[in-house]
Amino acid sequence: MKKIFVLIVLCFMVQMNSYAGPSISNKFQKSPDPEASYYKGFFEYETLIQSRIGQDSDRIDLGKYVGASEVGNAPRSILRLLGVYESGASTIQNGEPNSLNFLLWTILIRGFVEDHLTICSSDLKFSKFLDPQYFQLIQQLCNNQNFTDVLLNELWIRIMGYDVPIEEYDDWLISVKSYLTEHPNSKNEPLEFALSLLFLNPYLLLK
Amino acid sequence: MKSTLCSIAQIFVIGLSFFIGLQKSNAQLLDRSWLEKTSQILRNGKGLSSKDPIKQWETLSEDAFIDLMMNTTEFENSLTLFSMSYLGMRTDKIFSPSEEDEGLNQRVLHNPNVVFATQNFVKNKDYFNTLLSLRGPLYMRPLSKKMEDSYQKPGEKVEEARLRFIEKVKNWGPSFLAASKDTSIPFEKLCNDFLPTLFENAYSLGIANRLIDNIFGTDFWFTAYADQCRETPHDGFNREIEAIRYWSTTEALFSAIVQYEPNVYPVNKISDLRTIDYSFAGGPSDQSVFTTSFELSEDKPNSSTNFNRKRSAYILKTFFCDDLTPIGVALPETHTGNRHADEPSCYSCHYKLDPMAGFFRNYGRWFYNYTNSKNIVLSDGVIKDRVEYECNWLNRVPQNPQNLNIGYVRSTSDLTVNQYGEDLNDLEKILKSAPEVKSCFVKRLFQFSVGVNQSVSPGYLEYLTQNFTINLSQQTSNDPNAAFKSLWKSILKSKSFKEKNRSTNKCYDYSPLENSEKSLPCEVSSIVENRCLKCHSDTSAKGGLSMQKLILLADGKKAFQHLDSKGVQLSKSESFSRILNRLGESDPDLRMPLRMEIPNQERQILFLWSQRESQ
Repeated sequence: MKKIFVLIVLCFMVQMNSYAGPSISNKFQKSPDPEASYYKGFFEYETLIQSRIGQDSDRIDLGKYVGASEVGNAPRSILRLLGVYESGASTIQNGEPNSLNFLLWTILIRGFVEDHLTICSSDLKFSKFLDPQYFQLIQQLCNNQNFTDVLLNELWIRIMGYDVPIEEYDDWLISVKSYLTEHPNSKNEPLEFALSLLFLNPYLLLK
Repeated sequence: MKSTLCSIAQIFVIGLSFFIGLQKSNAQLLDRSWLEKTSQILRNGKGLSSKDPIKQWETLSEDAFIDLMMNTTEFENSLTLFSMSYLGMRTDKIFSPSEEDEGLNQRVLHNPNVVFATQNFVKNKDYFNTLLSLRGPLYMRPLSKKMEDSYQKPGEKVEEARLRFIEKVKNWGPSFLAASKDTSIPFEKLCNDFLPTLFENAYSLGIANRLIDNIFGTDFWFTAYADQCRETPHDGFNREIEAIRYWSTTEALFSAIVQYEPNVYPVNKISDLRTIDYSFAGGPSDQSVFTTSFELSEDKPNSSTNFNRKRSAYILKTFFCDDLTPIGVALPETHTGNRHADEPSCYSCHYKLDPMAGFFRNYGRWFYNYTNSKNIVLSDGVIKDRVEYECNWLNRVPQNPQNLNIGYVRSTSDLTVNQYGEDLNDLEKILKSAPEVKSCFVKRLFQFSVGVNQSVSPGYLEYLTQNFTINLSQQTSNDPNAAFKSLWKSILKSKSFKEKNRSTNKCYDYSPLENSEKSLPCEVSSIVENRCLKCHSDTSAKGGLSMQKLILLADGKKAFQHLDSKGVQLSKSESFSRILNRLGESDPDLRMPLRMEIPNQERQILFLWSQRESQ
């Protein structure tokens, strides 16, 4: 589990230093035209995730993974480090990726992915936050035998939406399948790997 | 033979259908990408989901899809977010589940013109001009969902607890009135005995914090009495009259608040928000946005030395997109010492900053209006004679040391292009009529939709502004937001918005008259074309400068063709330094563009670009 995250974080950091372009095929190549990219910001990211995989009644609370639950009166100042709009400004604050805020993002996403994996152990607490169809999809992907193109495509669309170049999808698919091939006896690690790559994808995380 | 031909034809048809199928599939993907982005912008960050009829939406026209999105509930939030962003008050969420916010983000209420504008849009009333208003109704969010434990018994509903507390307060009122009337009771004792209850009444009922959401201060209710107790004298304070006023206000508020109990007043969207008119209780019916907004009243204080310049800078930056970057001068290191605003380096900003500040001259601490008072209290606690203070403006007043008028100053040499006024009503009229404000609004909407850092050709923005202005003048009462909607549609249909892997350094859209293949960077190309090329289209012009295009010099650098008196091409740095000097020149016979008033923002863009190129 830790190894997967370290790998993903390393890939991601190399990438963020270049640009918010394709994340896998070009992962160690500098973009010819590097540009700074900014986080969407905590709340925008959460809203997007909520609209794609959440349900209306029980909302996904991503703040809880960094100890800043939106429900209740937990101090939420840490969310500022994940990119927010502060008073008197129209531009995002703390939106520029740095080692600290990226560490926080990885902690947050790690927690979120871990909650996904509870579905595989028949713990249904997390399911109430998820759209029923998405929940079923995750349930199916708990079994590595179900890592078919059809289901993986559905997972991609569910999380990434449509505003991502097709090459990005191809690269993700190859990576996930390679992982599966290289770890034939793994349990839920392929799902963890696939989800982590998605939730940390620059097209989702960055503007 | 026939059958072979048929087979070939069949294969061809199958191949063609397959190819068309592929094309269609790609077209759908592209289309969905735009649907996705448009959905996020117009539905408050909400992307396409499996619950959406995406296939059906794909068959719509772009305009029809935008119209559809603009009719969703989420669009209210998107519009509110944009409006707040436009006013420099962007927030993350309109609705928040935190206990502090109890559903609705408090900061939304700090901008009553934003809420009013959104509600107007929903009701098919004018959005744009409402947003430019510097006043707005007072909005009241639902009263608190819980009272403190000492007031609300376990299991008791909050509205019942509040009623019980009101009954208790009603018994307290007469004794307070009697004590205030009895002059034998020292005022100090009156304060000790009753002041805590004044506050308790206000806060425990959950009204005071709601008042603070709406208007910064509760002066019309209990602040005068409380301040007097805290030895901050109020003009003409009379303890008996003030007590009567306080008590009648309290009783009026008791009756009014029932309709704001959370059980009868659910707020799930901006259009659910109700107003409250405090005039029944001696308070205001509406309020200036400077008073309601904590950010504006606190963050832009009016100290005894800044003469409302922070408020002025806010107006120039927000509505005119003028961030007061001075041109052609060395910036003063500090704004202190014995400097005067008429020193050249300071004057480059102050010539427009100070006249704009004049609109706020009667507004002191917390934006209280001191127009009818003898003195004005400033944010740093300094008290000044108001008439004397006002004499810093109005050039008809002999004591005015700087001969400053009040208004939006475009030029110091041609006063006819300036717009002058007296008070905030006049400022509002200027905001609604100034072309720079429309142009700035267009820029902000583009930035909100496409990205703050995205390069955009000024010519394209001007083209959008021209269309917006024409549409504003032609729109009818049937659709008072037609111009605004058309503007947003244009932006959402632009290449900049549609581009998938966008480079922030590149321009994607140009006005129909612009040539996108020009060698000049997009941020300056249209300015050069409109302001410089008339005279500098070839090197026969004065100064031997042709600004048609950048040429490659012998040293490999790119510069304008710029010849010295002997007909020799100047180096890049020398050429741009000369351009820079002429842009920042104060002598009207030398200042470029020659005898032409151009918007400060354009001069600034040109200046900063030339400055970079000259280095």
